Amino acid sequence: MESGKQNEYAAFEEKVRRTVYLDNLSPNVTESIVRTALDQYGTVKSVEFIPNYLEPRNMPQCALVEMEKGKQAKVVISTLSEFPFMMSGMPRPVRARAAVAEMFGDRPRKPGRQIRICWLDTADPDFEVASKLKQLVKRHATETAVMLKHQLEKEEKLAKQQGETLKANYKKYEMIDSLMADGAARRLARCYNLRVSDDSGPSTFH
Amino acid sequence: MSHIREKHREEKNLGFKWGTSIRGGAKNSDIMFYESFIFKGEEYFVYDCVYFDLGQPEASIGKLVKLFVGPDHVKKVKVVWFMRPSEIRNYLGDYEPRWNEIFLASGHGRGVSNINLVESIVGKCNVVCTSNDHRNPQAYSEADLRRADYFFCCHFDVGELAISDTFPDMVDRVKVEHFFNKKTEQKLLGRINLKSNVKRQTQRPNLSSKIKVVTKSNGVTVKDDNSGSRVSSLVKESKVEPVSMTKQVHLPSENIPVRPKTSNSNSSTQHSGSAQCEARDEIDKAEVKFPKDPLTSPDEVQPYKKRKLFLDERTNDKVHNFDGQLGHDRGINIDNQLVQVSRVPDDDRRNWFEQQPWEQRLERAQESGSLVSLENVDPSYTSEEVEDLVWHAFNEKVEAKMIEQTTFSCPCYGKALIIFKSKEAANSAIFQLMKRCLMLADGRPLIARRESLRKGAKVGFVGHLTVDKLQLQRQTEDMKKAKSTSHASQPNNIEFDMGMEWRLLQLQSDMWWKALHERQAKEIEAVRNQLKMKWQ
Repeated sequence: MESGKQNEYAAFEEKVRRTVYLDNLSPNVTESIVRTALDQYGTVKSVEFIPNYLEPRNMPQCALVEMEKGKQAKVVISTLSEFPFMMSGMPRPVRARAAVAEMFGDRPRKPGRQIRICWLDTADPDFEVASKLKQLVKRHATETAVMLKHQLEKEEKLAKQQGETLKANYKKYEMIDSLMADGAARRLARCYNLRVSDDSGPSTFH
Repeated sequence: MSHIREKHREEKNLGFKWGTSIRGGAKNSDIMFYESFIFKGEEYFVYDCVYFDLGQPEASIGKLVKLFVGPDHVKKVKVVWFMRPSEIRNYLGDYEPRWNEIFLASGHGRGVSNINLVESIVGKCNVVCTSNDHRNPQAYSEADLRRADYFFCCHFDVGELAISDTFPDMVDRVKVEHFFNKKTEQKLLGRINLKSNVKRQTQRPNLSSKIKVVTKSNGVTVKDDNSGSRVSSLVKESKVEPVSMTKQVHLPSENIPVRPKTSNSNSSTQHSGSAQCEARDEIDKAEVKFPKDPLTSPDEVQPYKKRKLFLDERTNDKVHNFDGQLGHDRGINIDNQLVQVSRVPDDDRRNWFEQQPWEQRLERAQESGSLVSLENVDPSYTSEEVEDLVWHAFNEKVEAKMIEQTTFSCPCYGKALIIFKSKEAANSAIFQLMKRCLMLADGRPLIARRESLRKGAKVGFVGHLTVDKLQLQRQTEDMKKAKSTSHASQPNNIEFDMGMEWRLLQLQSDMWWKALHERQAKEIEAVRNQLKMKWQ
């Protein structure tokens, strides 16, 4: 019985090593998208999204992707940190990290682990310290919430900024495009005796 | 180890036997008081110190002051307690107790004495009083003190919550003299004082006959002289006995053949006469006591083993009542002590899989008000462990799910969602956790809160930009595919630049989360170091 549990846990640990933790995923991303995306780096064994029950709804999604080999997982992580990887939308890149055991919701028990609990009453000498700890924990929770909000605000700001930039850029591009399209550029070129080529530059922004 | 267990089972069947009763000791004639009883092969007398197993990890030590049986035929003992230093650590002040020092409970109030069942007695305890009180016969030696399990020289007054070394006249209506060391002549009837036993006997002139009698019982005849060396060898032998660690019942018979070896048998002087008969009678009595004392000594030398066995047996019984596979047997619920949490039976858990999927269960739980979030859990716990924990703490079977750690969860905290079976159960658990503290072994108090799932429409994802809708119509199939294909962008377009800006923001956020978590961890450490009890 014991050895079975230990084997199970060892297998789980190995799985953790092979898994990549992705976040900053758009809500539109589905399992198949993730699969096809990461297939270029190796065989994807499974994709699991981490459900979000408690955080604000506009948080980006996270997922755990289990690759076949640990090496493949490492390759994924290193590529994604070098180049911004886009999934179902741009330009917010997907972030990849090595997975940790605590990220798995239904992880098996660690064998040989003992949990011990103890009730403290008000008369106990440690009760006050424990109450202080409780308050500290609550305070930390609020701090975390504030931090999260702050982060989301920052992200929004950046996105807006980029949106502006994009619009401006696009306008410029459109302008150039339309000029090219309706022949205004050619006419002007003839006026100024300049040669102008007809091809429109490559743009992946559509 | 297994044959000890067998020994216990045998002795349990040995049953119980009352000794002589005390006449006129009862206020009403329904209760019979006794002077002694035999339990599990040992004879316990009034004013003996014994170990009790009351479910605490350490056995409690008490002095039997009354042995009686009531009209309900339940055998009871009234016990005055000795306190361990750990139990009164708040009130010790500057006093530094020795490792085997205990304190007699005195005064008026809770904790001085109470009535217990005979069955909770585990074994005898050797307690020596080293107080300099004039009523205390200083009839103990250094060796006695060393051999004793515990000693006490102070008492703890439960009313004043203080220790003192001047003893009052009465402790719980019992004369304090009974708590001090016994007078010499009672020692023969008492437990260990083999040395004094031997001394008394060696004062008899017919030492050789003694040896002869004793060894004769085994069919080995020994002849030797009356010499001083015999005394010392005998004394040596008897000293060896209590220290021996053999666990067999027939200890005396084993050691007796040893004696003839060390004592050089030579002469065949045999003393005859009435003196010998007298001596023989005395010695018979002594011999009867002899085998008994070695019996008690292994008990006392290994009280811990016995206690552990006891606890193990009890937990085994408890565990076997459950169905299902249980890998470890642990766990008795006790207040104020660290308890280990054992596994909840599996078959109950299996039933829950037939129910609806997790999200639906969450929503239903929230509607019925039984959704609770348990915070400050060790993040490495699994959902099953949380379920076991809640079951042990509140005796409620629940469903738990550990919330996974994400990029911004502090690594020192874990959180779990718990679905209770009913709103009342959830309420009572929250209330209990608010009033008292449930601490995990590493010094974390658990916090519970009513939780509500975040509802609301999915706001759009921040950061994915699209151009104006008009342009969308112009997109060709290829363009659409280009957008939706996941790719790593190359550094030749605006997408790359923007992507890098996002990466920058992500790294920044990583850093500030890390700083926050580190600070939080430090704050927690600082407060945890104030905990007095030893947590891991």
